[in-house]
Amino acid sequence: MADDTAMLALPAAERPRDLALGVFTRPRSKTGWRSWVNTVDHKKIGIMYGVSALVFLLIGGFEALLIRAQLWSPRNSLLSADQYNQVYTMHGTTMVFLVVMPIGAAFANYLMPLQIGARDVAFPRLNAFSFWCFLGGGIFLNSSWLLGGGADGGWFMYAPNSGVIYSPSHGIDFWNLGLIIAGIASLVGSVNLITTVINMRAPGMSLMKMPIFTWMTLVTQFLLLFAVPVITVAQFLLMFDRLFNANFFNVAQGANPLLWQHLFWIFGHPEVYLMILPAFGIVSDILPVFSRKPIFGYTFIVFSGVAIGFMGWGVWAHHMFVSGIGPVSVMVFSLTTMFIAVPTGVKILNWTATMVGGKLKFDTPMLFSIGLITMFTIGGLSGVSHSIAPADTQQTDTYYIVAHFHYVLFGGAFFGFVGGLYFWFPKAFGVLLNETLGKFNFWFMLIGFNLTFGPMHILGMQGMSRRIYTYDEGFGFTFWNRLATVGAFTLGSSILFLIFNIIYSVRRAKKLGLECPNDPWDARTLEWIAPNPTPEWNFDPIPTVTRVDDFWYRKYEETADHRLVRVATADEVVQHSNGAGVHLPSPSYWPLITAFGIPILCYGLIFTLWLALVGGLLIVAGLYGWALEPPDDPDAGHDHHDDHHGDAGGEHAGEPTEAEAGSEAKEMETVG
Amino acid sequence: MSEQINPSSRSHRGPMPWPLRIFGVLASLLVVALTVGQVYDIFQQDGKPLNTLDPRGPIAKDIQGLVQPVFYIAAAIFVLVLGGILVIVWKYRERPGDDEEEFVRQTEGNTFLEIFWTLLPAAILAVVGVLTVGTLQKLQPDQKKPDVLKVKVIGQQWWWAFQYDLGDSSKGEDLLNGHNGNYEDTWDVNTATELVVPVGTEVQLKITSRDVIHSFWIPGLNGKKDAVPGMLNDWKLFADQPGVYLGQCTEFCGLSHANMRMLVRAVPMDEWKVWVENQRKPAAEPAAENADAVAGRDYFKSAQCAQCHLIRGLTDKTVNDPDKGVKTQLVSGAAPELTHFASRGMFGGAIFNLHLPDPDPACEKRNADKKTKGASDLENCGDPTNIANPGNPANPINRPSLEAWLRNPPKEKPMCPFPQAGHSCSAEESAANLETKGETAVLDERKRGMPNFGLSEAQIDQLVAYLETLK
Repeated sequence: MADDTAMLALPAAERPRDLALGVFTRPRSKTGWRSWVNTVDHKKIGIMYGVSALVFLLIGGFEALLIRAQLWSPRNSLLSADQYNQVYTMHGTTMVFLVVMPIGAAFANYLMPLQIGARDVAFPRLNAFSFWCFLGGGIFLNSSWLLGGGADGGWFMYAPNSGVIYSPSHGIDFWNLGLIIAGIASLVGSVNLITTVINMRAPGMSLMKMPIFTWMTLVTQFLLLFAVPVITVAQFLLMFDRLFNANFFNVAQGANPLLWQHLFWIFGHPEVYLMILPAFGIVSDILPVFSRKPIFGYTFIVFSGVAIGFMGWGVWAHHMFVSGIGPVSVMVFSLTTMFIAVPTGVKILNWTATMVGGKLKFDTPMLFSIGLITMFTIGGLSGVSHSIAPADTQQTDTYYIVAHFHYVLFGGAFFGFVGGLYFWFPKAFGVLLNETLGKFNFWFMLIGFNLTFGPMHILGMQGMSRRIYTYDEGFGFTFWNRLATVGAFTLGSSILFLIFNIIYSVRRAKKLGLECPNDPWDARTLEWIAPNPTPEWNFDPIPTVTRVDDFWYRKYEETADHRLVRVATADEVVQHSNGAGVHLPSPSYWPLITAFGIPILCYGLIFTLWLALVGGLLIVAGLYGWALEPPDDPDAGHDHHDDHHGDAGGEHAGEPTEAEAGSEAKEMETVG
Repeated sequence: MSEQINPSSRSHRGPMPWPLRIFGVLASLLVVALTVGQVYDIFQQDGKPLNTLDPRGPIAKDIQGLVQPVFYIAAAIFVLVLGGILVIVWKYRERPGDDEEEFVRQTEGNTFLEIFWTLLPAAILAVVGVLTVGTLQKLQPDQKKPDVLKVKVIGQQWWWAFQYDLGDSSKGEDLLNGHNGNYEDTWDVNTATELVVPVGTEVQLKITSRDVIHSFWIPGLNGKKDAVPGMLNDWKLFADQPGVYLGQCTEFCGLSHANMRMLVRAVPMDEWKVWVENQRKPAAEPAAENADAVAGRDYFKSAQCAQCHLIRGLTDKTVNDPDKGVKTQLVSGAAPELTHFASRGMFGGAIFNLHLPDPDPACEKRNADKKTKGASDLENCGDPTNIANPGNPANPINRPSLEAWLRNPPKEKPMCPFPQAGHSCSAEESAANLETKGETAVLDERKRGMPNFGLSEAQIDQLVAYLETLK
């Protein structure tokens, strides 16, 4: 950093960056597909995360429907045992790593900078790199379908069944390497977003004035930061076992296969919380809007989220109650698991209390939020029943568990995400989604969801084992399985409603030239100060924050007797400036090129090492280009002092900028 | 920017269209009906041999004794929270004609309430925690306890082996207390698929695996315990009533995980002693006049069967002698020992009935009910393909299933006899004829399961005739 300040003193023309490598000019496209592949804008990246996750959702959903179709009747032969094992493994992996996690990332990327009053994240190019790694990992993983079949060891990939002896196809190699790539995305993203929250909040926004979604994003990113390396280590061990004949999980050589389980679940349990916490954040921001009163117990909601983040590290072995870890461990993890229900319960009660005494409006985002509270309560209660270790010996690895975690991850996380999509769609695209279709969407999803996963409680308690490709008559499984299959297709149709609603609403708005109101929900949090859809520059000027729900209290003021009176209309509060004089980070192709090299390297590891060389060279070239490209678009109207030191993504976009006409001219001379 | 200042004038929030109202009501009714149906079904126990809510042994009853109160607590919380939310949603809903600008009281929180509802669930969970710890203690096998049967349970793809560690009554030892406790290499009785135990005796298990992780689970008698290669996991069972208790492997173990079952057959002590003495004997020689059986025996011995299957008295010294450098163990364990094959009720990982089952009383009762109602669609209560009703070794052999198995095992149950590096096991490939593939049954570590030997019908008949004599 000492260098940095020294550089600042130099006149622009003397800066070394402009001399040798002026060929690396930054791309300029603002529209068209190029503007997407070279973007470093957190909003576009957030949207790309969301769209990719939606595509993966369709793939993972199709796999789910295949599973349910296979289980329609006893000894069904739609899928062979081998195909079924691949489909269920890929369903779980896709939904966890390529749908729920990236949807969380989509919301975090799009909203978090807006909620803290920043113009972008701390490292915009790294942010693009995260996204391309995620997409590359996802495509790499799914390309296994075309290259010899998917992974067949379950998403938990227990050793030694994941070894090359028991699973000789390349599916698990694709799984392993694909998730390592996606792990890079998560890790890089977490560092980026944590830095952003810590450093780039608008003036006046102390931590305890942050919107709860931003708080939950912060907790989530810390969980990612510490959890992802653990699974990456496990996957490296497995990779060495499978590709280079190492013996980390070779029992014949004295390995203990429980090592994998510990590593996997030390990652895997925080993973559960980092999937659900963003949705908790979303409903915590939606409920007050539609209850027309502040969130009940802001501090408690925030700290229960933080508590979940901490306690989430001490419960992993409840996935291993029957694995033979010994009675003392079982007892300890049984108790810790029970008590993690406390902060979760606090959240549910606070959300409920937020609605008490409110004036509730049941727009679609609110319906989904209430859906989350109720469905998650069911999932939470069944979760407590697993924490009771003796009961878990009957329940674990049965459909009861499948029911439980779908109530948590679908009824919890996914309901929250869909609610968030309805709520912030106008923010991102300037279009309100159709309410009637939205309500159909909600009810179809609620029914389909309960029809699918409700019966699984019964199936599990009646002894239906998980991960079985078929079952026999005479065990009482047929009826409930049929019901679940009907439910799954209902659920699938609700997703089609959602997609149809998006297409219909966007087209209608375009056709009728509808303009989106700037404050369609009478919202509370800071992001609504920016107009809809959010302009490229987010805020101009950067707002100064005085309290939680800053936007709301710019519209309404509290009287002495705690009554609210309107002091301004939304349109008076919303910014209407044109962004002139705002400096934004310049686009770049290098994150994409660097990220593109990684899957190629991984294909090389599986098929031929020569390809790995190509991938490696591409990565190195990408990094060089990244490091050496000039920090600024010469055409941009502003100099930017602090980002020329070649540090990966050193642009500090959120800081106030100074437009200097003189240095602009100099810059054009030297760079051009 | 459009003039959308007053939120109540928002274009998207008209009155709810009537189809949506009707739909919402129907949807809610459906969810309620579903919940009621599920709760009702929980209390139905007929025709669910793996039901965890129908504990049959005292250990399983201990678990259920813990689950039940917790279930009621959870049900109460469920009703309170969900009922509360419904009431709140109804009571505080915005009503038509409400003034948008007239605000409710802006409560921001209440510290007393927060502390209350942090401590209350903590207190409830503390009670549950104490109960849990107590039950956990009960589930732990006491290694010093006398009069217990000790059995090593070995999972392998995709069947279970049971090796009994017993005293020798011919030397005046007690069967239950004379064990040598060595689980590594000795056993007194070795069987597969069916664990035969005496009623009223604690059975202490040491559970392990020869290949991947499996999980041993007899829901009627106890919860499950994983079979981890390289570990001996302690577990126990106790049956206080004679009967058959079905189980299922519950840890994903590859291709035929769904087809890896087992059962516990609890019999009275004197019957069990007779069973033990019989199991200790080498295989019976088929009677000379039973020409098919003799031919079957000779074929078994000469052909590739004996590469994997042990029949004590027939193949142990000649074919499977490790001293002669013959490989007997595949990585997924040798195939089941067949010395007393015909004393079992099921085979193939308990997914086929080896003997005809006794008519299922529940089924007969259903038939009787149907008859009184004049219905004609009666069930076949002794249907040998109904594997929820396991075969009784006292009944005649279930020939069609055994013949079908011998004709082409991987077609009956997915297995992987011809693994290829870089490929997963396709069903067609697995079911291919061993000889036309130019392979032999000598197994390398990747081969799992019995291949299709391309046996002729005559050979199948002879083998069945021989296997039938292995009582």
